[in-house]
Amino acid sequence: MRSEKRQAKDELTENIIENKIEEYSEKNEQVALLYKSISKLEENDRLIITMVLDELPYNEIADISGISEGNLRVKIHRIKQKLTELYNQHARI
Amino acid sequence: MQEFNHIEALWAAHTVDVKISSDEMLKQAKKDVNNMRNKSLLNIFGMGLSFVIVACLWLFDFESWTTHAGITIIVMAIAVYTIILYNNYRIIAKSDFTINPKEFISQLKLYQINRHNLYNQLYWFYAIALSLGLVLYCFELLTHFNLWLQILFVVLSFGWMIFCATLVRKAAIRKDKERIALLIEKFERISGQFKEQQ
Repeated sequence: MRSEKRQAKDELTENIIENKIEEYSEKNEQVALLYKSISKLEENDRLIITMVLDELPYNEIADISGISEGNLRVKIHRIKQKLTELYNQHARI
Repeated sequence: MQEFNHIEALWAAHTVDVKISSDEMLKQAKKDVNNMRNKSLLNIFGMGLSFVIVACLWLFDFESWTTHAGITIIVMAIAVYTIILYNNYRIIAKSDFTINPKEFISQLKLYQINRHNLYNQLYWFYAIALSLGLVLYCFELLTHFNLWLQILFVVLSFGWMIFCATLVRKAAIRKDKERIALLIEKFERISGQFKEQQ
C-alpha cells in the first residue's frame, strides 16, 4: 500500500516536470516569435510598442517620441494591429 | 483585440535573463577602469610634451620681456594643469576594487567630481592664463609678420580656443560624466551581487 502510494506520487512528479518543460519551451517559443515580430517593425514603431508593452504612461511615451498624445494613440493602434498581424503570420509558419 | 491581449500577457510574463556572472562583470568593469587610467596617463603625457615644447621656445633669442612673460605664464598654466591631472590620476590609480570595494567606489565618485571641476572652474583659469600668455607672447612675434598673417594668427589661435572651450569642452564633460557614472553603477551593482552571495 505504502509502495503503491509512493509510486503514484513519483509518476505524478515526473508528469508535472514533463508538463512544465513542455509549457516552458512553448512559452519560450512564443516569446521568441514575439521578439521576431517586434524586430520586423520599423525602428520608431518598435520603440513605441516596447514602451506600450512596458506600460509606460501615454504622456511619457509622447514626450519621448516627440509627438502629440492624439497622434500617438492613432500610431499605437496601427502598430498594435501590425504587430498582431506579424505575430499571427509567424505563428502560422 | 483579443490577440494583442495575448501578446501583452506574453510580454508581461517573460523575463529577460542576463546571463553575466559577477566575475565577468568585474572583469569588464576593471578593463574599463584600466582604459580610463591609460587615457588619463596619455593626457598627462600630452600635457608634459606640450610643456617641453613651449619651454623650448626659450631657446630662441627673444628681446622683449613680454615674450618671456607670455612663455612663463603658458608654461606655468600647463604645469599646474598637469599636476592637477596627475593628482586626479592618482585617485583612480591607488585604489583597487577587489581590495576595498567601498573605498574604491567612493574614490571613483571623488574622481568624477574632480573631473567635473577640471572642466568647469579650473578650465576657465587655464583658458584665461593661456590667452594672457599668448597675448603677451604675440606682442614681439607678430611684429615680424605682415598684417594679414597677424590677423590670421590671432583669429586661428583664439578661434581654436573658443572652439575648445565651447563644443569640445561640453562634449568632453558629457562623455566623461556618462563614462564614470556608468562605471560607478557597474561597481555598485557588482558590490551588491557580492553582498547577496555572502
